[in-house]
Amino acid sequence: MSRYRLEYMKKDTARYLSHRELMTTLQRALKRASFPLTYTKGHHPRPKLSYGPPLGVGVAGLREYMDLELDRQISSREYIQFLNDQLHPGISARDLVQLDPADMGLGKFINLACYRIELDSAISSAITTISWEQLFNKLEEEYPGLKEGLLKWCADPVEGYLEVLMQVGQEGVSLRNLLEALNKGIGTTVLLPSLVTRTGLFHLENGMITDPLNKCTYLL
Amino acid sequence: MTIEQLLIEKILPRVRKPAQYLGTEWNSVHKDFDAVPVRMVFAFPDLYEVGMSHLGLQILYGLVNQRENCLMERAFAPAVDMEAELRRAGLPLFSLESHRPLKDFDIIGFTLQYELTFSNVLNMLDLAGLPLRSADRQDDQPLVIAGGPAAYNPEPLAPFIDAFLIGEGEEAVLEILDLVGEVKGGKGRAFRSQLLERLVEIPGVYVPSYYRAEYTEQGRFKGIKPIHPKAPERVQRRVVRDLDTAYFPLSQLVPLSEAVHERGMLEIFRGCTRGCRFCQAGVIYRPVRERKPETLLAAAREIIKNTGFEEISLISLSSLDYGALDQLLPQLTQGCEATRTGISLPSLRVDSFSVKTAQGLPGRRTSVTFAPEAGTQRLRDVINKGVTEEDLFKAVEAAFDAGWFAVKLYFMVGLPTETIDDLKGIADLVNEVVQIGKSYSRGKKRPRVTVSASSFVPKAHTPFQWEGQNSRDLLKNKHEYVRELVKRSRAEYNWHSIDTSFLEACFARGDRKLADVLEAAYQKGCRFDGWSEHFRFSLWMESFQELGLDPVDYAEKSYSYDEALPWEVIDAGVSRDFLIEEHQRALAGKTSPDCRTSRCGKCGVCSSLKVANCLVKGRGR
Repeated sequence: MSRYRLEYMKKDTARYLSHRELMTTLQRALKRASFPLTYTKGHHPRPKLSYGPPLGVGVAGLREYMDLELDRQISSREYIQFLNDQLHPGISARDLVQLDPADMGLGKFINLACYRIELDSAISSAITTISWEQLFNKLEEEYPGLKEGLLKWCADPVEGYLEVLMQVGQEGVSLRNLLEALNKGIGTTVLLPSLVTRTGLFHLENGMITDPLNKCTYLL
Repeated sequence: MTIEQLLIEKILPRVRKPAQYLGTEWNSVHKDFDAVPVRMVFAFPDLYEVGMSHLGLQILYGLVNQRENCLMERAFAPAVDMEAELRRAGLPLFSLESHRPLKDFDIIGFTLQYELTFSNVLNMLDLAGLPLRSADRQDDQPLVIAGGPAAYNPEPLAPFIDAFLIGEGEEAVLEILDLVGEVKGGKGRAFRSQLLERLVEIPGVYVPSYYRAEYTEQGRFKGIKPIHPKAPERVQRRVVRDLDTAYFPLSQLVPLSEAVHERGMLEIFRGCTRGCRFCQAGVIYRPVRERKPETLLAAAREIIKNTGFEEISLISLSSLDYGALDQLLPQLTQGCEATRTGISLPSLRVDSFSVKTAQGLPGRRTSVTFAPEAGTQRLRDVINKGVTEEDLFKAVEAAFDAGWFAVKLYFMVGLPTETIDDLKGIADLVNEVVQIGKSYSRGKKRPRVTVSASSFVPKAHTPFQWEGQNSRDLLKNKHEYVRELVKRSRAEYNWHSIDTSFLEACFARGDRKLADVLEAAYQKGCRFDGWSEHFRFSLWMESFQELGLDPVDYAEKSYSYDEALPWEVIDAGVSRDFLIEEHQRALAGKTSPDCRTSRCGKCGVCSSLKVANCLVKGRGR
């Protein structure tokens, strides 16, 4: 048995796939690409696949992950190509690495996500009356859970985006809640999931941030 | 902004399940729209999740797109939230592949799966920006055609559709596309009036504007007469003679947004000659044409490879009747092993053989469904459903033995000649099934038995076409009676909405006058009538009333043999004499044999359509 971790992208029109739709799509693409998938036993065998934290309908993801179990070792370069030949527009495989048996599964590993929210001019002008600083302070009062989970934020009004670093998998901390809070704070409804891109998923431990392919480590 | 940009940036963020509007399904075909001379959009008047499970779409989509000079794109009835967004933004209904307005196509082709999608047909025409009635559309607007089982009584839609195609489409659709290409020449658009003059020459094409519906002074239907020199007296349905060599799609569309059925489809044969007397499919798809096992095995391999589906389904009207199951299934099971592809049978015959067969197949096991249809042997003989009590009990036992823990039973209420004994009979059968189940209890848990009861709807071209439907009150009493009895055995009883079945009956045997009712109901807001959450019966009743037509008369009327019937302008191949004889045998409680395994029943299909049963194992005559 070999475990692999796939890094992929979901963007453009594919951002409108739900997590479930994306899972089915990836699974069928893997089958078409002849990956030697390992299946569960029993009457209703399923490939042993596990996915990172779900992306909402409309949200794009630049570095998303899934773990797969395979019956044998494969050439990553070759199989990325096979897979990309079978993927829909907007979804593409970026990297495939073999995991060490001791490596943590995705569910345990990922506890941090970085989102980038595009701001249109309407928001930028609304925000002049209330600063981002004030907005986030207010937000933290009204959504205490969110405050806990929100590790960093940074707004770039010139480029027109807002970036946030959020914990994953904690109660009350979700992109949905954040958008709701921001919309309420600014007094709009225009911040929709389709303006959001998840730019990365990470593991945070002792102030150190690592990506799921173990390629980079940063200080928080 | 183009439609595509508007859609992606403004509309998709606001609708539910947006993936259904992307058009980027695996195996979808995207051609250079402007470079292809003949363009058709397949319009499915129901939701994506229903339409994407439809075999006819997959066949025609693959077939037409194989041709270099043609393209076929898809449009489904937009969900209610999407319709609101389109109307608000002033956007027309568009095709999924190139996001072009339906108006840009040469042909808009609707499939009519059943009567309760008719209001959606009108809605899609309106959303496309076209006048509803053919007569109001300009000569250079797209040709609107329709086919499918509900086209076998085209009259209620006659004023809205330019031409109907009756019967199987594999050959006729290409003839229609060729003709459109020829008439169009290098021009931007063929004129509909010119097209219809030529289309009427294609066998199977019914051009309703070339006919006049005649009535007596009392307003009774008298007949439909051709008023155009080229229009035939009756339009005979199309049928594909050799299914084994006919086109079959191997690169089937893989739904992006969840569909009702997500599986590869392998049509193992077409047609059913069991002869259930209420069943329209049993008439309009005759004769039986089986594909060879080698053809099917090769097709299955390709379908699995090209789609990655988790399951492949053996499609037909009664798959367990396939003559070479013993050859097909072991090899297919073996071929599915590496990819862990499941194999499913859409319906089981009521006998232990089918259960044992299904048991051996790889794949998920949820519940097993049997359709005895009626509660007593007498009534099962009336409907010619060749099933005995013993068959059912053995099948159920075999199912529990095989480890199934849920059984679903289908019955029909309101069948001709039905008495209270027949209703009691349903409850008795169900009770017996529950008793059998008891010995298979797991601890305190007993197997689940669910009864699903529909109301009989008389359908055109069947031996029961002369029979009226029971009144709504009577149907309600009958269902309630059976439910009370069934509840005592602790089985679950579900019944289909009676109002819905009533409306279905009106349209199933309706005439051209119903077009006005349909239009009025549509204008009042009727859509998705087959969906209980959208069905608005009172608006339909208002529409009937406003137009001075009595829906009860349509649904409940019993016709005599000498009356003309509105759908008789369509020739389904079976002779009128055969239908009459079958009707009389029904009333006498006499069964008729299946010509697949027994002697010819002289239905007339083979001689009039110049076809024959095509069975892989052959059969002595």
